[in-house]
Amino acid sequence: MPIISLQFAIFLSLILLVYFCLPARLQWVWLLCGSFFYIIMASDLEMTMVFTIIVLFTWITAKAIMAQKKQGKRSALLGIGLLFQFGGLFFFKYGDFFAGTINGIGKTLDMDIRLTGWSVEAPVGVSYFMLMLMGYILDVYWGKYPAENNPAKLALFAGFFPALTSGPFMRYDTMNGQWFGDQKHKLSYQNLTLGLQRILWGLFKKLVIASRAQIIVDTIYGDFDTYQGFYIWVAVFVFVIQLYTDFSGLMDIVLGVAEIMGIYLPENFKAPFFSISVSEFWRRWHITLNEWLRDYLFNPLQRCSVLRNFRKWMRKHCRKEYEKYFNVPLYIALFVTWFAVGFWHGGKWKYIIGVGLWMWLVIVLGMIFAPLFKWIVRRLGINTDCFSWRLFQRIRTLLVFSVGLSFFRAEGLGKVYLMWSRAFADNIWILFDQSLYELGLDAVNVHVLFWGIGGVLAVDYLSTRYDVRAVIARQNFVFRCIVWLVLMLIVVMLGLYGRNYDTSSFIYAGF
Amino acid sequence: MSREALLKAVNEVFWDVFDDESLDIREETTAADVNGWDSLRHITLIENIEDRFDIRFTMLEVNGMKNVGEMLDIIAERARE
Repeated sequence: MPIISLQFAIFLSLILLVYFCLPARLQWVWLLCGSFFYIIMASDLEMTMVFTIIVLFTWITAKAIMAQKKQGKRSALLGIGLLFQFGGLFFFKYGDFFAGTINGIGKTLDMDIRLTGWSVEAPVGVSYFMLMLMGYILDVYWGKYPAENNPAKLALFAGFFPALTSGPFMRYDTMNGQWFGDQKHKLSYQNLTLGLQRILWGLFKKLVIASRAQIIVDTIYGDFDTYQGFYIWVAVFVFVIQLYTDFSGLMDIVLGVAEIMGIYLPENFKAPFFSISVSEFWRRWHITLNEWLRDYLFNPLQRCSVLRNFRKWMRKHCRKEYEKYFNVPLYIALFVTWFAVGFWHGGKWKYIIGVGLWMWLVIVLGMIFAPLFKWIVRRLGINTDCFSWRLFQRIRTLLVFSVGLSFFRAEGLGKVYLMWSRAFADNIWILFDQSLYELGLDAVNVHVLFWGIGGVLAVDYLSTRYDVRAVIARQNFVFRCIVWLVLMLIVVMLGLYGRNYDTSSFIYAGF
Repeated sequence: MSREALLKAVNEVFWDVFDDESLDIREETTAADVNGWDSLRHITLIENIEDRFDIRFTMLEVNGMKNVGEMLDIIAERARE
């Protein structure tokens, strides 16, 4: 049941209709019923059973950890729980990658290894709920909050239907008060209008911008024999826009749906294109995944005894500058974390390199060469406290991210090589003649895309300074109506939907 | 150690870690207020604090500290233990 579909709209309406009539103690039960129905519709009964078993196992393990007083046994139980969860994720998502990698190593070593991979059906949203459940079990182990007594409540946490297939990643302690509190969620004018506005903004991003961007991207990425030089650069940057509007548009819809229910989910994006460094970019892009990895992988890894002793040894034997610029233990922890970022996206090297190791390389080189960059800036007398410098930093960050995403979008590493080997042809004129109107979109549609991107970036920029929705909400009724009516008309008239367009699939719903 | 003395000692650790003696760390200071206090430098800061006061933060505390005031609370509590 795609989130942009008539079925989902009917399903959501029925859910909401009953939800607001129920008392507080039954509202979450109803949401759980809806979520199970959604899971059955999105996969099947068998996969719903798998989902239930995973939740039950996590619930039992967490209860056992909490009941256990001996640290050794607590750690053993945690290990079993994490092994089960990680093993499950690996089994459902990485069978082909595992076999392919082993076979590849065998080939390199001239050994005849022929492992057969496995592609099995996975419960819907497995990449999302499995990580959330891992976070839950770790939080219980660390004593952040007690294990949940009711497994059904944990099932709602893992399977809350608006966020099931795409996130955001939630934390149990920030959500349980909202779902299981004593206060009834009433249908409020504010939640309804703000939620609908957010959904509308998400539809604008998806149907008006992402759908158009996709046509250009598919055309160029599908034929590097015809499209070379600046065509490739156009595709690289337009894909960044496509991914951003597709994913953040989906998040707007998900957060808007939850907001109508009176449930506030964590934000996943905060104007990422206004970041001045790659590190900052990743604090504004897919925020909940990166925060999850920071808290449950990166920080624990840095605190493990091996890296901790390594750092102590460095502090004792090396000059202070080395710790700052050649912080090898930090680079190791970063390597594992960025590998995990890429690996989470899928068992393909294009993901591991594009949104993983490439970003790691840029961040580490940036740290190592920081003194050199500072020296160059000082010698050239560059003013770093002005708009033009910040603009340069933003463009540089965008460029680095775009190169990584070219791996993400391409069919494989071979295509990436082909693409970049043909990216430097001398044809800059295609940006100024009519060539861009021959990539699947006519002149009008290219202009709609262009102005749409401008609109999204403008709103993003404003959102770094103001709460844009709150500012609009403070205006007079007529003005507010005009703003949202115009946006609705734009979505209805300029959105690409209908028989010839696939509006139901989102890039990040595929993970 | 009084709260003021604790804050002064924490300030000195911050100066050392961030190479900036102009930093004025207060109880309400958060990571957003200090240039360079991001997830990459957080553990370095934590370990320097641990070495200075001879304590050990738990993983929950490492991930959960909201501001310097909470950090001081934990240091004071450990000192009492």
